[in-house]
Amino acid sequence: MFGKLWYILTLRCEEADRLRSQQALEPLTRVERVAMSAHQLVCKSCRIAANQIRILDEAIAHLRDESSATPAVDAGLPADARDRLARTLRDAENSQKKNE
Amino acid sequence: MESARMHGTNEAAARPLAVVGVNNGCLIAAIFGRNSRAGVPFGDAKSAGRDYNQLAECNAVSEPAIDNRDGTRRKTGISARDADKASDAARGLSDPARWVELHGDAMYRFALLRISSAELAEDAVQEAMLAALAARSTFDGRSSERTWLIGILRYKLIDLLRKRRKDRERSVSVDSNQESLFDDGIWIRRPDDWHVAGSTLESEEFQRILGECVGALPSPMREAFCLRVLDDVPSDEVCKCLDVSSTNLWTLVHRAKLRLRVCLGRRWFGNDEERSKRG
Repeated sequence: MFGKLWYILTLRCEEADRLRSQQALEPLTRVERVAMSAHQLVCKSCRIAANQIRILDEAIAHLRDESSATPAVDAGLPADARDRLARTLRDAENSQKKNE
Repeated sequence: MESARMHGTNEAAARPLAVVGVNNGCLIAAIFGRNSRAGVPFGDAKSAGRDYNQLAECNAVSEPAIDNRDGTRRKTGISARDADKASDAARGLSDPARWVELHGDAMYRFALLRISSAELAEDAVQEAMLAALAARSTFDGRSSERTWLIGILRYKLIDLLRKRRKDRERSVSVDSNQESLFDDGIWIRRPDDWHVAGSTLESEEFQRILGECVGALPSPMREAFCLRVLDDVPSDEVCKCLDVSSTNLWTLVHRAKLRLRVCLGRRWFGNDEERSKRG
């Protein structure tokens, strides 16, 4: 009991920030939630940081949605790799048919 | 990934040789008739259970291959290759010869975002396409062809990362030389207040910069971030894949997100004048 209270009262910005980052991915324990919320009540920097994390999480969600055709990477399959891959696929398909 | 799992993609990708044999389940069911189990030569319960649907699909795209009244087989005039293609087309699968043209770039970009090496990204795309070719009978058309291919690629990338991790030293250092934002757990300087207008986060320019920031993450952080955050792989699987403890995983993810915030702060949110220009 004392240990939990001590954790809540002495939580620092770095740990509060880590918990806020983690929260979007995994549920926090009750003590962690209380400690994080209590810390943010009194720490303006962490409230601002929490807003940054919220925006980042939202941006990542878009990146995830767009993953299949992401404009995040400005590159295409190089021409030689494209030719090699097409050839390999063709050969694999032909050998598959021979085996059937 | 969920869809890939639901559709049995991963299982199929994991044992490509086994599924090559049932590739023509549709054709086999058509040739040997609805009630015949002799037409399922591989003793695969899944393929045996599927042949009714496969037959229905076949009938929708080609004429029946058997005269059931006297049980004799007759030639239909369609080649095995045509029947195969018709079956694939009925399920929304394009000709594999066109996969490179249709999905090559998207798959390559997907891989490149997650692993820094262009060569490894090319290899992963090739392995994924070959696995998909061998397992195409498992594609049931519930997702798009690209989603299915990306699902297979995702697992190939996880395998690749796992292999690469094994080749390196076992323990991952989480203490990279990151410039710390904290002094004794307290912010050194107050973070900047970010303001986002309208659909900024969805814009191509913002997403490109975010992608570049992800690309600039150092190796273990980037892998932890991509697997756990971007691909939503469960923590225990990521820990196994990267050979890190759960605590270290969260440290890596947190540091990755901190770096992304610093990177976005510098490249997007940092300059008020620039931000107002972008709207």
